[in-house]
Amino acid sequence: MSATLERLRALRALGAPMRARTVALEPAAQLGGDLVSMLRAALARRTRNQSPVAPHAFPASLPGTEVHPGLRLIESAIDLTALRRSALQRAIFSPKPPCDRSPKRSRAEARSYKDNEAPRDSPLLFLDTETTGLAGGTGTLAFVIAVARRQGDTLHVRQWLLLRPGAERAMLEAFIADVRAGEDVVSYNGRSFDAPLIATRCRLHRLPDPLAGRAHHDLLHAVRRRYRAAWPNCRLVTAERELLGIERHDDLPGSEAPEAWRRFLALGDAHALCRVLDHNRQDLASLALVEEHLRQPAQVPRDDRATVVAFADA
Amino acid sequence: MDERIGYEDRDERFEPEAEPATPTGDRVQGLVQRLRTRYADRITGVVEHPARTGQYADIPTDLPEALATALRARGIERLYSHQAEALAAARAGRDLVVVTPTASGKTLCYNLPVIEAILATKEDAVFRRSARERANDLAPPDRFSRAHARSYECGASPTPAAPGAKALYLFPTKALAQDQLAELLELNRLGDLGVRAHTFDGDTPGDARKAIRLKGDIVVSNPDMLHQAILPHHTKWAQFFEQLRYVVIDEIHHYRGVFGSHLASVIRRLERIAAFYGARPVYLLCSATIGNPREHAEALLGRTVQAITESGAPTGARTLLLWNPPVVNPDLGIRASARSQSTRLARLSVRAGLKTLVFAQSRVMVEVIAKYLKDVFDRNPLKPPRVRAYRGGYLPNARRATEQALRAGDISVAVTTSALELGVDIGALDVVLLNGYPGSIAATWQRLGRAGRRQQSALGVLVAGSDALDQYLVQNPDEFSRRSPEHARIAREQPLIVLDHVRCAAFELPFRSGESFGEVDPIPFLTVLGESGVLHRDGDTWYWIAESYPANAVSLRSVAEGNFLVVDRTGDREAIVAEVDYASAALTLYPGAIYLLQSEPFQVERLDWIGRKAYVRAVPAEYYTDAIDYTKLKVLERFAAEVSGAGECQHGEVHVVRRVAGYKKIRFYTHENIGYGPVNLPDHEMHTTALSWQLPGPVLEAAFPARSDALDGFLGAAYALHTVACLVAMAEPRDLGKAVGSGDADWFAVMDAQGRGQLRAADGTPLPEHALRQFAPTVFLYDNYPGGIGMSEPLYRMRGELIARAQRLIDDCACVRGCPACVGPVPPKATLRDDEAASPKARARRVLALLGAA
Repeated sequence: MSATLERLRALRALGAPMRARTVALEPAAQLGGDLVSMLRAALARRTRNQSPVAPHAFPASLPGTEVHPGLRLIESAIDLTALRRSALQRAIFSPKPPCDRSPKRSRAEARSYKDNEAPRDSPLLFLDTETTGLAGGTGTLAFVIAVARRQGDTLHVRQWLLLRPGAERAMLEAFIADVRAGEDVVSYNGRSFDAPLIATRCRLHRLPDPLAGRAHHDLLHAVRRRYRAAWPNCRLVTAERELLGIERHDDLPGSEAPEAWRRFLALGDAHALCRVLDHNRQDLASLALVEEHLRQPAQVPRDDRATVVAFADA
Repeated sequence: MDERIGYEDRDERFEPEAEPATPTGDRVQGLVQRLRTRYADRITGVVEHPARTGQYADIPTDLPEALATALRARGIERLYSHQAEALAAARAGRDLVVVTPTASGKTLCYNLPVIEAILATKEDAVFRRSARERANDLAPPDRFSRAHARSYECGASPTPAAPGAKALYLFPTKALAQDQLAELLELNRLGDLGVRAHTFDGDTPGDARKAIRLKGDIVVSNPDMLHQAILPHHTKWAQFFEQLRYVVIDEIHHYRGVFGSHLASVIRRLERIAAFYGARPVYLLCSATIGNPREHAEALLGRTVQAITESGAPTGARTLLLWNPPVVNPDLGIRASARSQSTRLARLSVRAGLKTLVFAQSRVMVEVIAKYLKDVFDRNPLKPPRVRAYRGGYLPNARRATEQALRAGDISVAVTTSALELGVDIGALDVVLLNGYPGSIAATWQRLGRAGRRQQSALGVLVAGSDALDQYLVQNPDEFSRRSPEHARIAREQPLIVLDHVRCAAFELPFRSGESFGEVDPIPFLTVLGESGVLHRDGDTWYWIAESYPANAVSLRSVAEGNFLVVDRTGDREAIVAEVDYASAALTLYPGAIYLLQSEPFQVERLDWIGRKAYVRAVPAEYYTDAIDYTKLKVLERFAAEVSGAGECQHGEVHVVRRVAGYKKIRFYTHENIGYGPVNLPDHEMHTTALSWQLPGPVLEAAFPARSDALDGFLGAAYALHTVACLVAMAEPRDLGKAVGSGDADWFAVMDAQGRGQLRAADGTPLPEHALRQFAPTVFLYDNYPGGIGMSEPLYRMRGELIARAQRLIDDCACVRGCPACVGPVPPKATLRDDEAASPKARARRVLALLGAA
């Protein structure tokens, strides 16, 4: 049997994905060794060609502080004026000035996003999460929950980062404690994705859903209403480029975030995870700026330069 | 035998049309008498079940008044004994399985306890709700209450949910589910019960789904939906699971083999989720008559179950005739076709004014028989049709319409496949004709059970086909009566299936160490899943961290390649007229095929394989088509090999190919073969695991006078080995494939319906045995599912025992030369030497002896 086991282990090593960090197995697992080796062989036959992953030489260290075993809190402040100005400078010299180029503009679309929602002047809570996948269902979790609040032109960001799945309850409790009464939620596609996800995770931990009963302004819908005809898609990256002139450099795409977290769990390599946090922070900044932009009814530009100049005077 | 309309038996021409006033029972008896008198030479056996009086019980006085009213409105004044027994057991919280024949009022066995529980909790709830809340239920939704509803749905309800009772009903098909829902809604209406029952399946629209999750009392669904859509999203169903009181699973005999093993694990996942929400539902199961209903129910649930097997419903007298078509060519021993007999019997039955149901073995045969009957009874297009065909492939609307017409008594005769074997309510019929043996005793009795209105006589006729199994049964009528219905088997602990479901379960809820999965220890499975990266272990808990959605990768039925649509292009229209499943498509939709729909011929002009569409046009065809297909194997990799007697036993990976080689054109009525056509379609291929036995050429040459004898021996041994392997692996015969050939796919052997072995070359053409230089035949037993499901490996480890058991099976069999119970159908005596040592049984014995311990 041992010869077969060695051969099977060798086969798996050829195509093995990242291995979990070794954890001492209880004797019970070793008793099931025959079954385990059979299962390994069967899985090896099923998943034959997977390229191995090479770890980085020097694992990075994570920002923020540990507020609970397995949970880090990263607090930062973003100067929105500086962000706007640098985006504007890029805009003046870039060939594609940011403006609303929808061919037709009806009165309905010209309204601000707030006209479609209940008239409120509540304080806003900007929300974004990073998750282990888009599948939905009870097997998807958020490993970053981030909130942001504006104070004038400063955006205060708090990001909770999960280092181990076992700390999820602590993360949810911290998030629940942070959300204030009377705050409205602002997100991008959050009504369909982030909010149900948070509701599911709370349900699984038997905690009350902090977003229940709150007004939720999902800016994706307002953006779609206004710009769907003009832009190739209405993703946040597109909106920030077209409306705000923001071009990200060296950004980790959102689709790579799940893998970044898994790398950290399996190998302790935090490089990509740090980039996820940066990406997430930029998402929140853009969210705040897009919200500001959408607050005003849409302008009809006479010509592009006029808009740019008007923007500069603001 | 010519079956054109003009040719009618002398006897038939004088067959009187029945007087409508004569009671049905008398008409049935009259027909039975006429048949036994006139066709005594064709009837080989008669099985009679006398009439049985009913066993009744009073409707319990503590049953909610509204429910009792509903029952009385349905004409039910008393319960049958088994219904009362089921109600008592359910009330006591005992899991149970009801095993009574069709039309014995099985559904009330579960509807009564479920509805009773729902009504009891609603009565409590009514007093607690204020008038305002009740009014809000009716108010149109606005955005505020939507937000409110969303929070409620996600479980953080502002007010704690009132304890209620909910039930989940699982049926194997949508047709059955629709039927049962209609039954529930009818009861609801009659008693003004206020029970909210809905189907929840792939067709349920999105906005209805939320309402069902929140408000439904009874959710009617199927195992696939539970597996893919409900369990992985269980937080959306939190309220439902919190109050889940009963789980009803109907037709459990349907869940056998691999499908049953999957269901057992889905139930483990369901139990786990229910426990998370604090529920412990009672299981109410129903089964048709099989050999081991309680054992099967306990295998599915993993715990002891009370079996209710005595039916209290009254039945009329039932007569079953075993019918063998007459010999029409004595020199060659050729008999008339079963089809000719079934058609004649159907005509006699309809003329006697009896409602008739004909079961055929294939969809093509349904169309052919329906056509002949329509030519007799539906000649006038202005009158409503008296003959209807029913089969898979017809669109749901057409099928519902036929079911409706049957219930209303508008149809005189329906011709169907096994599609009508399952319990869809089609009213009561007087005569059931089986065109050919259905393949199992259980299926035979289930189909025959369709005949018999309450307390009236009914007739069933099993018409034997020409293949050896049918002939064996009909010529040994005692054997037929003695045989008990087959046992249903599942392998509850099949490791690869359990692995798939542990993966799904980990997605649903993390696994804590010490937790068990049903009664299985999940640690080995979690270990392997952790190594493959989909689970991460943190402390004593295993979490799902992968991106994928595991339920998508697991199909309970292991067939999910996409149905084909049949598009009618006659004239200028383009209408979808039928749907064909992937496995049947290559056999029925090749270009040139004649596709029959209600016996109207359409020819397939173009098949878009990738797009899953077949384009047909109505043609006035004089013939129908029948595909020729074969299966062959090639060994890809050997995992292990050991000496076995004078030969070798191996375990490895194989490539299985099923190819449709061509088709025959068969003229209607005369059934002459008027031509062939080629078929060029992708093979149905799969990789799977197999175990195999092989004997070297010289050994065989020494042991047998001729290669054909050795081949027959191999085929017989393969048959016996397959039978014992299915028993040992607890698998259904279709889950384990068997094949005989050379390991490198140079040639393969098939046993034709007459029991003769034939060699075929790799492209399917017949091959004489002496043409092969090397003759080292191999018998394969393979997992009949892509990728294998882990059956062949444990069988390989038990190879010695399999040989021994196969030998015992053959030795213990009472036949002399061989029979379908041991080595398979054998050729008729006249064409073989009468030498016992040369009988197929002896040859198989010799092969097994060579493979056994030396």
